Amino acid sequence: MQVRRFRFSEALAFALVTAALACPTTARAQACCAGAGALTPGRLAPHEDALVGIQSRASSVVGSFDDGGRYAASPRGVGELDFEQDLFGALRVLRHGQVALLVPFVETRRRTPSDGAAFGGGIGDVNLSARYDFFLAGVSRTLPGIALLGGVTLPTGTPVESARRSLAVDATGVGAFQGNFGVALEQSFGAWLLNLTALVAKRAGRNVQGVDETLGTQLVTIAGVAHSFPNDAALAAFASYSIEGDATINGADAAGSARRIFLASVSGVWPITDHWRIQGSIFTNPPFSSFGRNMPATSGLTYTLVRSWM
Amino acid sequence: MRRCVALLVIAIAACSAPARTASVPEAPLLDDTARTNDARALVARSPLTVITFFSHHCPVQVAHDARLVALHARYASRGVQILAVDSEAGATPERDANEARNRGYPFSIYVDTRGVVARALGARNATYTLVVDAHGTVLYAGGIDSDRTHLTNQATPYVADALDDLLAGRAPRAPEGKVLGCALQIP
Repeated sequence: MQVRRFRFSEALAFALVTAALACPTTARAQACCAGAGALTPGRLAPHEDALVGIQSRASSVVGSFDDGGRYAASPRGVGELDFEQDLFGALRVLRHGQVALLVPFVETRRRTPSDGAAFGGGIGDVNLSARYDFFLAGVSRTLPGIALLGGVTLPTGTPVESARRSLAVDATGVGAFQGNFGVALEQSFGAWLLNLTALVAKRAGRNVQGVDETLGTQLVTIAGVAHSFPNDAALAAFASYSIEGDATINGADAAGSARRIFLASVSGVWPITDHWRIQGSIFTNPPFSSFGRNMPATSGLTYTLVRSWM
Repeated sequence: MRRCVALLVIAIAACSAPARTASVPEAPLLDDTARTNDARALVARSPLTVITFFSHHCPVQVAHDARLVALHARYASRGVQILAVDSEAGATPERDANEARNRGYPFSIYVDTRGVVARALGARNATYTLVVDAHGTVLYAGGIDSDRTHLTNQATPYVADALDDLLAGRAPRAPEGKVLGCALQIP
């Protein structure tokens, strides 16, 4: 049971980081405009002044990676479905800056042979983020778009130790402040857009029942490619690799707690009007050994509706 | 008629030109036969010229092809010419001649090989459009209209409004409009 809770909190932490990646925290620069939107749903295009949206996410845990990176499928009778609805908004500040707010609602359904099934959830950890594009993609042949990204995640969710329902299904947050900082490089080649983003996330320590614990520093790298079509629709594919160092417990390194996970995703955006667009994606942590460490493997999909103002 | 319009335009230009844009420079523009033309001389051919910055790959450009053709049809007989200018890296007269033909443009796309015209006029995005007088003075600068890729009947027709006002002897009701096109890759 203890092991499962640990895995869940880790999964939640990574889910929140992934949510942040999919939203304005890690928005990336662009030439125009749908390609970047396919990569990052909550990002303002250069011509947009504001947007609001909702993203629904559903995923299933199909297995897990142990601390040696070996993959094992979930045992028979054990299952987990994760759902999330993110409300987000972004607002342009200055000419090349944007700030964003993300409010997640997280639900989990878990099932074990011994405890049966349980379902619960609630508000997750709220994220505030900002992005500043020093240089837009496509403006120069040689110099790519360059943007700085920053954000903070607040512990507004329910940490696992405060969960009350069976199987901790109502745990919705990490329980610690998190700050992240990143750089995004992007370049367009006609209708093609290439993106490379690196993010560093640092989590504050917290005290759980008299034990001080701090998650390790996390580095996330993302590489993506998108293609825009004449009707402003776009398809994108991206991959990310997250590396996290050992956690510390009461100031001591918790050896073997470091985590790794690879994520692959294909997404698309379809403009309904100049102000409304829908987006969708499928994603997976490839269920093969060495694609992760100390992490669950999930597969899922997202659906996003965005309303923007120009 | 054209002389009257020209005089009116000169008078209006003195007080209505957007402050952030300069006038059309003396700079080379290649036509569809690769012949060099002077930008200032081109705009001197008409009392009013619509200069629109072209991008062959931009969805916003594609969406506005028909509206540019409609602008030409509506205003050509009233002394207004349209010059499409391709200032993007890699533009060639041959490619743009094909683009103009395929899009049904009744006007030429000129190639601004070094981006001199784009820089002088502050062009950063495709479909950035200016209305200038015969002296190259900018009277309107901004988007073609308020639509992006999904055209509606509710759009504010910035350029048409500016032309109507100028042809009626008034200053444009809005000397600037928001540009919604893709970023231009200017050499």
